[in-house]
Formats: sequence, C-alpha cells, structure tokens
Amino acid sequence: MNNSPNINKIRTELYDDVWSEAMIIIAKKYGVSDNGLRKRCKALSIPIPPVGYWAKKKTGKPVVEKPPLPLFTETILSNESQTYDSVVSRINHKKNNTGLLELLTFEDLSIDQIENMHGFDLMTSKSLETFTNWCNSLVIPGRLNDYDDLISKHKFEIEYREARDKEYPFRDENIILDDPLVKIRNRDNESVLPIEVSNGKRNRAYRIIDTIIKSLYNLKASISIEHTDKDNISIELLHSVVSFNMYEHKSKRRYLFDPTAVKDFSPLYQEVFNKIFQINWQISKHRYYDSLDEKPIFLSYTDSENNPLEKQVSKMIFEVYKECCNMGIAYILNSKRSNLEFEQKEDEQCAKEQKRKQKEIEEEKQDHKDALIKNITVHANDWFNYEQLNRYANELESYIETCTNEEEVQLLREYIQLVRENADKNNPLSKILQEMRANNVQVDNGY
Amino acid sequence: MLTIDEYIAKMKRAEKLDEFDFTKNTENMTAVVKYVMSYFNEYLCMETCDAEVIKLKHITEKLEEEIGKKYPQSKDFVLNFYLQYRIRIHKELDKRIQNELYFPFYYTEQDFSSLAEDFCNKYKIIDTDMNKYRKDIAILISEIKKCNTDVPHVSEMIRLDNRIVSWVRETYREYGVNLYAFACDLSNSYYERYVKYERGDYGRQIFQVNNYNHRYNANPFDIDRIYEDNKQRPFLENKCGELEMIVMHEWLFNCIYDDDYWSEYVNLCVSRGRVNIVKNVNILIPVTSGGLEYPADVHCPIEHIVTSDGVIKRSPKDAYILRLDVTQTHAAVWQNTEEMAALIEKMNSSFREYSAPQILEISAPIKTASFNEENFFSCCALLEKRMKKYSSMKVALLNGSGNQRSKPISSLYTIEDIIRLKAQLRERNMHIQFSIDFTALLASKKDSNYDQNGIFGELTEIKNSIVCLNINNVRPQVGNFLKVRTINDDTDVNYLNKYKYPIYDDFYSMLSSTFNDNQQRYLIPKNITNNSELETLVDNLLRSGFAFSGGGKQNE
Repeated sequence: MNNSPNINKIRTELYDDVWSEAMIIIAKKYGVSDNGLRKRCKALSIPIPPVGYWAKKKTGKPVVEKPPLPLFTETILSNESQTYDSVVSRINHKKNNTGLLELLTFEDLSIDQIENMHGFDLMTSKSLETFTNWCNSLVIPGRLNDYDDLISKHKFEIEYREARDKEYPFRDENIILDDPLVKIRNRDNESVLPIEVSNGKRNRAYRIIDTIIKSLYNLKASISIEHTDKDNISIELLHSVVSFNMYEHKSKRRYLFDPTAVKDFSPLYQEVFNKIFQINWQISKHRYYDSLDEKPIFLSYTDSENNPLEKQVSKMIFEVYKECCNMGIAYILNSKRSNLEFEQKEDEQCAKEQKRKQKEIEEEKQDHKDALIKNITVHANDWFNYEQLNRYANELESYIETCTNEEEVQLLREYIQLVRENADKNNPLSKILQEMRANNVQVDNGY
Repeated sequence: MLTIDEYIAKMKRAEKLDEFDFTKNTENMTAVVKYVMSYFNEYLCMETCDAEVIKLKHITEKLEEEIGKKYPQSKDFVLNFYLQYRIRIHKELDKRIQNELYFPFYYTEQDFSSLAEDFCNKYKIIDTDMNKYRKDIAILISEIKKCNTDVPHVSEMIRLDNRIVSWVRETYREYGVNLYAFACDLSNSYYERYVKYERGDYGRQIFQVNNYNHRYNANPFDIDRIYEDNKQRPFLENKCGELEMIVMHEWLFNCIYDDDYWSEYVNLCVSRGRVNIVKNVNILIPVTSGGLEYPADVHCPIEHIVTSDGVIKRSPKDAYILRLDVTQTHAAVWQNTEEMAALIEKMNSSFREYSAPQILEISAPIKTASFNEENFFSCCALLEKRMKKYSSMKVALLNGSGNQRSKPISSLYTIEDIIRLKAQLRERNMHIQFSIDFTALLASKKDSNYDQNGIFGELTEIKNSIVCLNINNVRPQVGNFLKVRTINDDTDVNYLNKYKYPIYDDFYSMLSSTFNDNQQRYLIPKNITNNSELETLVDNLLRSGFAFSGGGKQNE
C-alpha cells in the first residue's frame, strides 16, 4: 500500500462507509467484491463490523460499538506467507510490536525536509536498527528442502529444457525430425528466474536465491516473472522495480588448466564455467513515475575467495533496500512537488478567470455608457417634447378657467388629458433611470 | 555333361536357330521346347548320368576357378574340404574374420595360427576334430588376409601429413598391413552405429544426423583401447595418435563431412603431444609490436620494427621483422636505383649493428603518373642482389591501400595487381616474396573483379610466395546454414551434428583453407590496440585451424 498523502483521507472515508452500511452495498459503490473490500480494509488497518452486525442492528439487538480508527503504520518486515503458522506468527509480532519496520508519515514534512532525506531516513531509527539486525541475521542454509515456488519452477523448467533439447536437438535451427516415439512435448521456454549456472553448481545458486527471495517477501515485496522470451524477475519494492540475474563466470581454458597436465583435448580458447558467481541488481523507479528518463541503479556482487556470495547476501539486501528507500523518498518528493505544482496551477487559473470576468464587466459597462451617451440627444428631444406638451397643457388649463361653456370645458379637459398622456409618453426620465440602474446593477454583480 | 543352357546353345548352333528372326517366331519356340524335352528325356536320363555327380563337378570347377588365383597355396585344401564336408571353408573363415576387429593388423604366422586355433576350437558345424586342419587353415587365413588387403592409395590420404602417408605405405610394404583400410573399417563401424538418416517432420527434407561427438574428444573411436591391444605390433609402436589421425581423417572427410575441424584437430594433436611424426598445419610465427603481449600459450619471439629511412633507431630485443614504409617520405626509391642504393646502404649499416631481420617487408611503390615499371624492376633487382648476402632474410613486398583521401594509391592494391606482379617477378626470375595486408586487400574488392572468395582463391595460387599475414580483428561469423550433399538419386541430404558444431563462414575459415600447408608464416597483428583484442585474434585463428610456432609442442 502506498504511503500517499491522501491515505488518511481514504482511510477515514472508507472507515465511515463500512460502518454506515452493509459491506456488500459499500463494495458495489467501489466496484469491488465484498471480500476484496474486506482485504483492502485489512491492509489499511480499518476495523470492519463483525459478521451479523447489520442483522442484529436491524432487529434492534445490541451490537458492538464502532471502534475508533487506529493510526496507520505500514508494516514492512513481516512474515508474508499464506501458511497458517506464519500468519499467527505475524499477528504475534504485531501484538508484541517487535520485528516490524515503520515508515515515516510524510504529510507534515515540507519539501525541503524531504529533499534532505536519503536512504534509510525513510524509516524510524528503531526500525533501521531492527532492519540492520535482521539483515545481519540472514544466513544461507547448508541444505534446503522447501524451496520457494519460483525456485521449484526454475528447477522444473531447466529439467524440461534439458530433456526437450535432448529429444529435439535441432529445434534451435527450426528442424524437428520426424520421430513418432517422442515422449516430450516440444514447447517454447517458459520464463523463470534468471539463473545461469553450471549444472553442478545449481544447488548453490538455488540456496542463495531462495534466501534472497524469502528476504524480499519479508520486506513485503511483490515478486513476479513476466512472460517474455527471456528469463526475468520483477520485484516491486517501495515504489521501485527491482530485478536481478545470477550467472556463473566463464574463463578460457588457458587460464584454468595446464594442458600438458590434464588429459584433455579441449581447445584453450574454449570458455568454461569457473565456479565464480555474480549477481547483478537493477533498481529503477516504478513505471507509474512521471519521469522515466532517469537511469536505473546497478549493483553488482561477485564471488571472491575470501568473500563468497553467501556472505554478501546481508549486504546485498541492505544496499538494495537502501536504494529502494531512496527511490521511495524520491517518489514522495515527486508526489509532493506534483501536488504543490497542481495547487499553484489551480490558483493561477482561478486568478486568471477572475481577471477575465472583470475585464468583461468593464467592457460591458463601457458599452452601456456608450449607448447612453449615444441616446442623450434622443433623451433631450424627448425631454423638450415632454416639457413643451406639459406647458401647452398648463396653458390650456389656464384657458379653461376663463372659459364658461361647460361643454367646451369638458371637451378641453379631455383634450388636456390626452396631451398630458402624450407628454408622459415622451418623458425620458424613467427610461434613463432604468438604464442607469441596470448599469449599476451589472457593476455591483461584477464585483 | 552339359547343363541345360549349354545343351540348348549347342543345339541352337547345330540347327542354326536365330531367335531374333521374328518371321519364324513360332517355329523357334517349338524348336526350343523340343530341345528342353529332349534334354530331360534323352540326354539327361538316370541311365546315362548321375545328376549329383554332375552338379558336384560343376561346383568344384567353379570353386577351383574362384580360389585358384586368390588362394593358390590353399586351393587343394579348400577343394578337398568341400568334397569331404560340402563346406566352403574359406567362406566360413571370411565370416569369422569379419568379427575380428584387429584382423587388418595381423601379419605374423603366430597371428594366423592363433586365429586358426581359435576357429578350429569353436567350429562345431561338422562332427570332426578341426585341429587336424589347423595348419592348412592358418595358411588359408594368411592367404585371405593377403587377398583382402589392398594397396593403400595416396589419393585416399590427401589431407594427411606426408610422414603419416609414408608410415602407412611403409607398413604395407613391410608387413602387408593396410592401416588406412583398418581406419576405414573402424570409421564405417562408427558410421553405422552413430549416423542415422532422418526425415523432417513434414517429410520434405532428409537429414544425416551424426550422433557421435568426435570434436575435442580425448579418446575418439576408443582408440586408446585399440592401441593398448595392439601396441606390441612394431608398426604401431608409439603411433596411437597417428592411428587416431587416420581414422579421424576417414571419419571427417568420407563419413560425416566435418572437414572444418581437420586443421584444428591436427594442430591440437601436435600441441598436446598426441602425435610424434605429424607437423602442424597453418603455422604462424607471432610478431609483436607496441608492447602487445600474446596469451601465455603463444610464445612470441619476433618483434616488428617500422622505419621509413632504413635506419633502426633502437636495438631489437631478439629476432625481428623490419618494415620499410617508403610510401610517405622515400617514395622515389622504387623509381631511382641511386636512391635505392642509398637506402640499401643505410639498411646494411643497421644490419651490421643489429644483425639482419627475419623478413625485410617493404611497402610497394605508389601509383603515380610518372610511375615506370622498368625502373621499379631495376630497383627490385638491385635490392634482391644486395640483400642476397643475408641468406636467412627474405624480402617481401607489402600491398597497400587505395582510394583513400589521406593516403596515396599503392601500385599493389587489388588482387589483380598482386597476380600481375607475381607473374612479372617469375618472368624475371626474381625471388621477392609478399607480405599481405588483408585489411587493405579486402577493402580493394570494390575496385576489383574479384569477390572475397575469388581473392582467397587467387591467393591459394601464390601461397608459397606469401610470408607475412597482416591481420586485424575481424568479427567471426557463424554460418546460418546446413551442409548439404547430393546423394546417388539426386536427393539433397542435410548434415546435422547432434553435438552442434558451429559452422563458420568467415574470414578466418577462408584464410585457413587458403594456406592449409606446413609452411611457417609470420602473423603481424594490425590495428590491435590491447592484449585482450590480441587474445581474441589468437583465439579466432586457433579456432579456424592455425597453430602458433611458439605454442605447445612442435614436431620437426
């Protein structure tokens, strides 16, 4: 599980969800099975309701209280295995709180602080001590009975390849001889661990690789072999992809034997295995990294007389894990930087949008102003018409006072009413005020 | 007493019957039927003859004719034995001898009498004591051996060392033993046991699959046991490796056609001391320059010194080859005898001080507009004459490059130039040799009518005149093909080896097959910058069948 900055948020959401409704309903929401959701909760240390919790609650029976969400610490060094015993042992480990590695929480650390971190700064000092002790305790067993599955597959595949090549000696030249009595099916190589050593030295290689693989599992690595035409191994460990290959060195016969002393007819230029093993590690950033242009890190360990590979396994695991920690720090730093960059970009985008809107409002206001200015003469003419008609009406009313004929007075009054109505129609004030108000409202809304 | 066919023939002659006269077809048929009836009814009747006696007479006559020439001493014994037991004893002995692996090695009376004794003791077909015929049987066996042993032909042993051929011929002359025949029998027995004809899964192709691992085998054909069983024979004394080599020769060239391995095999046999009378093939004398060191198994006694004016500036450590590069500063020496004489004088002075080199390698003249061939040959003649006093030193012309902006074109650039010059030197009875710079020569392909195969083919013609090989590190190329041969009925057979021997089709394999003799030539590494590159070059040359004169044991 990645130690991303949002992990706590995700945990809280998931915790609330699983305690709000039945697991099967929540699982549908996330698009996973209920079992899948349970596993994820377990991996994230989220407590889930016990079996029958929702049924009891529905019938009003007493149920267990919702436990608080515990703090999340990523367990690194664990006995990751599917056997019951090892699960029990792992639980006991947890209970005793010993033998576990804890990674630091990076949410509160600044980019500058993370930039100054290297290698094992990723883990607490106590964890580093635990890890160092564990590395130093790694020993290659003298004899192995329970090989890892990957080793067993390698053994089986190599045996198959040898038998197949004996049965089809010319398959490399794409020549299959017609033989109805063939016992072995001819198929392409299946990818297995990249171990290339002489037959006599294969058990030694298996013991070393078995120890390495089991150690990597303990470090919570995910190990897989890709189906390609070459033997390979891909180990996902702390945001890194690690691979290795083991091979036995070859020397020309001229450096190994005295041709006059050995009754051997092989040519001196022939290269033969010389019992010296080498393991090459390649550590690269995970493919979900943005910047893939960075070169991978190579580590190499070779047998020597005083320091056989068996003795170098502790150092090997230690150094590989250190490089993975470095990659982990780089990953966190990268994520933080990306987040910061994203936030900055969002702010900039927001400010830009506001500026654009302001500009639009000002332009609109200016348009209104221009339109008002353009209509001023119209308004002035209307106003003069209005004033003129009102004066005309007033003068007619003065005239009425002098008038005696009731019928005339009545008719003139009706006429004056028409004049005034017409004058009101020409009154531009309401229109001007309306336009001025609309302009002011837009300005207010713009701010 | 006539047989039926003789009777018919006699009657036919008497009556002048012509069976090809188709006009009398019916009459002829009737006549022949009449002859047959008269033969059985009249001529061959119980009263007049005994069919058994007649049959026996015929058989003995035939037997006498058959063995009369082959086994003159045992003729009577074989006939009497047949008459007595109705058994062709020589055929029985033939069968017995086929099971005797070492019979081709038998040559003493003891060998034959012990085989006769063994035969007599084990022969139970007739109810008699065969031991009474033991002496006769021993003589018959010796005659069978003599009759069955062919003269070894040199043409069969074309790739074998001359000393092995002499040994085989001498053994035959002295002991009547054909060692090559033994080798053929042995390799044939391995062929029958290990080589299988197979079809591809679609049945279209036929493959000859060799399941025997002969390459780099410390005891091929179980030769150690064969030698151990026969080492008392004088002609095989200390000749285990030589015997193995004959068998291997037959196996490689006539059974499984893996001839690429031959040169390397011979050199391995010599260097590991498996053979005593065989000489290396494709021998190279390593030459070093610029502090380059050969691998420990290649002893390098020769230094390569380059000068442009004939003056040796530092003392050579040991034996050396002197290269005189006159292309840049002293180009006129090939056109002016006086300048050549001056140059010779400088060299003489150097040789007086440091002794003469093994080879004086001089770069060929530059091709200019004013180049005159006669002047060149005059200079050559002068050089040859003045250098004659250094009897152990050979003078060699080095071919040069052409069509390069930085360097002038050499008059000895393409293979055509080399062939022409060789012919001209031969005409003038000059004994100037050649030092071949293969980088330059192969680069001249574009200006030549010869491709790479053609160039090597032409070099084969003049290989005796080539004393130095300037070679750079060419990447070896494994041929991506199968060897194919057409067998009797025009069917193509692809050759496969279960043990997957790589087939090289590259510069080194061509170089090896070009020279392929016992002559020693100098190897001058070209454009080699470090010891690792030099080791790669050495390994490629070893793989392609070259030997280094300083490496391992040498048979002289």
